[in-house]
Amino acid sequence: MNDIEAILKSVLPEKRKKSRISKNVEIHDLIEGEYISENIFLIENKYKINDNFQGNILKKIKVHPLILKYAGLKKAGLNNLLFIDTETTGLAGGTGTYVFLIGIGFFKGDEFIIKQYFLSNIASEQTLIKQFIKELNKTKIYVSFNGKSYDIPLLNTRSIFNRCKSDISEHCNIDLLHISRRFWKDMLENYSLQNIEQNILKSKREGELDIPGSAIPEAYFNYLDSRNAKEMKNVIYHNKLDILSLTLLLEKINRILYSRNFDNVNLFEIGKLYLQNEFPEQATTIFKSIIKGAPDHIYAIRELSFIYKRKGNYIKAVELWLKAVKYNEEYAYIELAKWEEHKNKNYKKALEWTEKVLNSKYEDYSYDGEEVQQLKHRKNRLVKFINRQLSISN
Amino acid sequence: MTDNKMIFDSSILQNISIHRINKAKKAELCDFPSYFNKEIINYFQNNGINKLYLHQRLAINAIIDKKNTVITSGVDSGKSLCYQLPVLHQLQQDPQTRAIFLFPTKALTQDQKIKFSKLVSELLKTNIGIGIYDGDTPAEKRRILKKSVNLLFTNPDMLHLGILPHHTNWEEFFQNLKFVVIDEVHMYRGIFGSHFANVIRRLKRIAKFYGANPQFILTSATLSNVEEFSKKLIEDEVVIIDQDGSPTGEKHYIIYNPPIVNKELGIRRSAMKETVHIATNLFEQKGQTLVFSESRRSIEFILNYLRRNVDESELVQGYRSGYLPSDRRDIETKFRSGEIRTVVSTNALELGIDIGGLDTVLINGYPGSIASTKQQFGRAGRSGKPSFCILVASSNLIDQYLVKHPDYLFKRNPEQALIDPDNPFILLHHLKCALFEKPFITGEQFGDLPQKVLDQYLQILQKYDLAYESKDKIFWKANSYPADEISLRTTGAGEFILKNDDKTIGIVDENSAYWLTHPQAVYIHQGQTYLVTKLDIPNKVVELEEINVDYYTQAQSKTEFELIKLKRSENIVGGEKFYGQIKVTDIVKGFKRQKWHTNEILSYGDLELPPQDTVTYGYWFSLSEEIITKLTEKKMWNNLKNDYGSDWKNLTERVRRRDEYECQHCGIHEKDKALDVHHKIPFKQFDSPEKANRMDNLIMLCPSCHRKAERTFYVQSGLAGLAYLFRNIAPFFIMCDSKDIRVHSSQRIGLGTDGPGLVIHDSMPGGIGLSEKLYEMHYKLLWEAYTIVNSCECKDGCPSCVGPVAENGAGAKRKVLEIIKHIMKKN
Repeated sequence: MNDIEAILKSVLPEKRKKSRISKNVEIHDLIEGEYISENIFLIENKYKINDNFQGNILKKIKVHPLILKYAGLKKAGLNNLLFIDTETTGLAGGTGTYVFLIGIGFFKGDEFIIKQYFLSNIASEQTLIKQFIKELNKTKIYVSFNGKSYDIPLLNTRSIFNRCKSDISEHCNIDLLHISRRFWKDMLENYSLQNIEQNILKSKREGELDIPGSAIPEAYFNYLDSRNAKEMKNVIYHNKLDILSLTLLLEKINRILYSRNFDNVNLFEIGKLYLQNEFPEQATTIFKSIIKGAPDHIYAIRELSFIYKRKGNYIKAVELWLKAVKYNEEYAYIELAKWEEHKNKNYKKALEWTEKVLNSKYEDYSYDGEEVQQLKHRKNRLVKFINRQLSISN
Repeated sequence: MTDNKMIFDSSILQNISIHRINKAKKAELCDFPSYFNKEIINYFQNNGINKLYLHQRLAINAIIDKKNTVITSGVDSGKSLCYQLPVLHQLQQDPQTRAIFLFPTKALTQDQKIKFSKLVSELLKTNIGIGIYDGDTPAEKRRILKKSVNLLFTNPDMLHLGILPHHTNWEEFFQNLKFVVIDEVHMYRGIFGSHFANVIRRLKRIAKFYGANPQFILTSATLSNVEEFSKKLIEDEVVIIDQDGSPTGEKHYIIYNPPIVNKELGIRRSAMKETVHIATNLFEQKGQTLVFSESRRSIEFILNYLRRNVDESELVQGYRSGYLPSDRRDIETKFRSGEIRTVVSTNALELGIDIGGLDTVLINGYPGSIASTKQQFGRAGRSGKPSFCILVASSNLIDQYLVKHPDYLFKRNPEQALIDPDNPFILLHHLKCALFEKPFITGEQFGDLPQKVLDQYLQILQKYDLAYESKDKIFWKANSYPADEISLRTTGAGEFILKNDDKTIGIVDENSAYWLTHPQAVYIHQGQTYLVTKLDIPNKVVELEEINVDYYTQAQSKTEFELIKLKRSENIVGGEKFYGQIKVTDIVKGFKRQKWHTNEILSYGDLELPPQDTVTYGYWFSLSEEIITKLTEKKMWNNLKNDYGSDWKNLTERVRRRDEYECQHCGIHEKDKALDVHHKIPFKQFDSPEKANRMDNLIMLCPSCHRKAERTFYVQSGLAGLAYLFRNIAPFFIMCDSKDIRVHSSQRIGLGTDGPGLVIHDSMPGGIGLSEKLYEMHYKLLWEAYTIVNSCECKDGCPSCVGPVAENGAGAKRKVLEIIKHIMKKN
């Protein structure tokens, strides 16, 4: 121990417990694959279309227009989807987090191919990134799980860091985490890929082959120290299954949308998804069917009423607002007041609705927020109109 | 105010003990450089600026000449323009130019950004991105800044925490980085500065990665070692611009000493009340005045009294940390425009926030350093008009010393700024961050750190599994974000929110919360008094209720030490020294309620607040029994508890009866608790109790007046003097700021030793090795202390040696020398 080390003892971490394995076991001793350049080991797996994975069938995917629109895409051919998942040395982000495994999956002919590039020494990261960028140039659409905020920015950081020119961050991205959160909103405890596999795809991983995601960085550091790739085999399995699950999950989401079989999804959210992505017809159908099944679904009533309003169909909109005021929905009073004032020019009725909402929602007027200010403003204006009408008729 | 005379009434004039006048100085002007674009010159000339001051021109020349430049001209001399102009010039030549501007506080960042934005938008036609990146910047704004900002305004903390570890997001910015501007660089001293020096090392390293080699521009207040300090901070050559070509009006420097109100006891009128009195007078003469006072509480007192005294109380405002940023901005603007006449502020307004030149700066009590005093005084002065800088001396010993020795204030060099970038604890943290940011290539350097030392650290990081070496490169190897593990500032504590009726009205930092906002405390905010109804520690909320009371509260605290682990100990001459891990406990144990104006104590309250523990490292030494006996024999030892004699009890009863159970100073009557009996001439100055206890030397006082009287007569004990010396000397040996260590003297220090002695410890939790270094240089420190005291020309002690001594306090200097002689190594 030198002097500096002695001084710093109190702030240095505990040394990592090293597994005392004497023998080096490299990745090529455990898994079939090839070194495509120094320290870059490529593992390739091929699957046939129509293979069955615990009840989920691997199929070529024609991405549903809703998903395309949601991801900001016009159209996607069958062959330009790239499923990606990366394994890294940490979750902290920043330039000190390295990528050591990039898995990609794509359809080719009647096969689905998973290629995994494994980095057996950090020093060769640049080669790995260059290889990935080469793969990327074949396609323009990634499918990922949380790639928008994790994998893609990270790969972008790594390519700048390694001085590789790329347009990674410009590519479009179908992020299945975001879509799953909408599809199964309030229905799952958490939205990890593993949990979705279990509850949505109803599939299970083989525990002894897998490794929990949180343990992966430490496992890689251990591998660098010990040169024993035993746990790396689990990481590669983990990564491969992630990509497979991504494919099956996208297929499942697609099937739900094409088949319009909306059991076991959050239908209201899907209706909103349609609406937000400018498919008002489909959204109308969905909200109507929700209200049919549940006449007091105030949220569906609200959404549907605004679709009608936007289309200028006031008869149907008013019908829904009259329904909504029974549930004391503030917006409905206001919409009715607006309708009476601007469309019907019936200021007395407009005033009635305005006073009703003031009385029922803000009875004691103690809350003096912007909403109340606006309502009071409307009320004053209406009173003025009514008085003017009276004076004219007199 | 008339043209060159203040019309003070005699009540003020008679107490002015020092009045010095600096003559008005004309501006020294230069032309704009001819290589500047006509547009720039025209713009300034259209705005009434036809020429540059000498120092501005010199600074611009140096910067255009690609020299690292440090500008140290006075407050309000147009320092910002020195860097704004070359940056604008460069932007015109190359619109790709990027510059980073670092400020020590968010408020300054705001102020400077707004001004620079105005210049840029009015002067440059090209699209120049300019923005603030700090903790308050919203995520969406951050994204835009990363892509498009030319001029980035931020602080060292953000650079350390957010920018450098994510440098790939700032690729274009770093590729084109031309200037690093560091404003108010004197703020980066001690531990904070040592951290910052390492952040600069990291910044240069990342800039180099992107092929940039930025030039540094620094501005600083006056320091006695500005060149050495700047060189050490940026590890490069610098050009110092210390001329000042800006004009100043006639400047009056005044030290005002509050009158003695009790001759016999030597008690002076409170400086705060005198400050209010003078401020009121200035207000009535319609002069714009900035009043500085040290503590937040005193700010609110002065504000409150002052508002009661004047008609238009809305023209008087307070200013301190703890006010909401929006309120502060509002006050700054209104003060600058003259809408507000008087602002009462803590040193928060000492830094370069632009509030314009003022007629008068009034300081309530010496702010503790010459540099600070100069900064605060620097706020006064408008060209062509006389201005006034008034220091109201408090009854503190150091203030009274300044009254007698004004040259100490006016002639002495200001303090030095010291840093130690190679402190192992600080360095280790930043090497982790640097490694995270980019691998170290064999042979790569880290600032001026010797290669051998760097290699040693990198070895250690590998040994402890934080780094991984392969192919001549060393990589970061941990699943963490090392920048998160440290704060650059020692006071990284959280904040408590002040709530009244569920509305947030302000904030108070965690360290002060126990002290200022304990339950039942009277808290004053913007002149309104509140009662603290709840101190919610887990949620960090203070609940307040508006209340009108005629008293304020004063918390009482104590500091205790506990030994956790003794690491080293050694016999020394005259005692023993120790080094180890200790727990320092500050406890706010109670408070007293005191009446406004009279300060009479109304009642006491107990508090059961959790103690605030700091686990850190300390060095302490104690004196042996033998030494104390020797010193006592020589009557040098004053810490032995006074034995007032067997008749003391009867005696006090007689005094109380004679004085009719009333405090002879403030007149308060004895209630449930007996008042004190005080020796007019200190007991210790007599050789027998009989002489000391003569009836005419005894007087009845309430505890509050008693303390005041004691303070005046306070006999500085040798140990306290020694502690004072250590506090001042130690930073020079270990290159830290005086705030980075704490020094206590005690009768019985505990910590595994019985004797009296000193405890010196790192202020920072966990310590950064400062006290161990001091432990190792024990004799060196004593020798330095001895030399300083021995060669000091003062008679009985002064701020430069053992601390100032009040007129009747005797022999502290002699005592300190005697103690040191007994514990110094004899060669």
